[in-house]
Amino acid sequence: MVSTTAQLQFPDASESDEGRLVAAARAGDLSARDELIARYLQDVYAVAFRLLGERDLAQDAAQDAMVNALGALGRFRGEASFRTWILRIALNSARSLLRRDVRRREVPIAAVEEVAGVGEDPASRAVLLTEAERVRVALQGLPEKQRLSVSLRIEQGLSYAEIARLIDSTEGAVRVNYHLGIKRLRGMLT
Amino acid sequence: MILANCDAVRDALPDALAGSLGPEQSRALAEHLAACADCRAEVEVVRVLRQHPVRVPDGLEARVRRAVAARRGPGRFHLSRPALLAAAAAGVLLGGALLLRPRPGEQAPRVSTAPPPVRASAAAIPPVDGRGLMQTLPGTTDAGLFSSTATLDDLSDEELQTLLKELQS
Repeated sequence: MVSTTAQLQFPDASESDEGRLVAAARAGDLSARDELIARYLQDVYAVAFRLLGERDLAQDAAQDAMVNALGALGRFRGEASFRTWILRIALNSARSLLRRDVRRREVPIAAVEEVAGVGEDPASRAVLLTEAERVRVALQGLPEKQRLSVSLRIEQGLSYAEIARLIDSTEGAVRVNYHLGIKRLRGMLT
Repeated sequence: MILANCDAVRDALPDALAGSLGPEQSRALAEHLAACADCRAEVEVVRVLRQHPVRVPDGLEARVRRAVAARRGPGRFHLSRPALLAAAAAGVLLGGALLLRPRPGEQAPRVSTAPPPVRASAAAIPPVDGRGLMQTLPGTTDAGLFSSTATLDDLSDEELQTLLKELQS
């Protein structure tokens, strides 16, 4: 299963580049710190949003995660990729907020602005928003493990093994949850 | 990896749509999809999900930068050993000053050349309608005077003298 365990390459973030950036930020280089924020905030926020399903909470979780991660750079040992490490912190921050926020609400309509790919033309914007909203609602309707497995596999490009480490599961369980999630999404999106 | 069956193909779809499959695997995948409508339907789901990634809200990056800077502070990244020692010494001095500070109920030694202040005891002063003081004590209001927990001990010597004169008149 080469494809499911292969390390994905990120064109703008090779491992050595990532290592240098982390080392520089740890040594106090403020521009390196800002570069880490710019590079990983998208992924951190996306993971938090998929877990929480709510824009404001996801922003709070993303902020907590970045603050905590950049404050704990000294504890990053390089055993996993920095991206996996910071995504785990994002998940922990989101779970922590989820526990505190027992007022699970319906996601407001404004949350559709989360979804990228919206054109300038009002007609195409309406169509795309509709499809984007369908995707969001469909994903949010999945059980958490299925939702995370699908999101981390497709949106974050992680392998089953990486996802398993991230959510404290097994590779086999992640694979099953991914396929169950996709099967349900096929019923909702096609 | 040989993409010989549906399971293997479906496992590989996210990587295929991300463009991270090798040429041999891509060719095998294409051959399989040409013959398998079920896997083609799954391609469509993965494609739709990829087309609608979560977008970071405007302003979040700036907000995070501010939060990180506020939490850490630029100086903390650059604290050298001498700076840490200086900070520790300052802490010791501050701690010492706090230990030597007079405790509640303990009078700090005071050097004064002024005559001893006139002391008035609350018990020695007859009941008085405090509203009369409204014009005497600047800055007081009716509500403030009667709702306040201030006592005669809080008045200055001059204010006490004024009060005594008013009571005697």
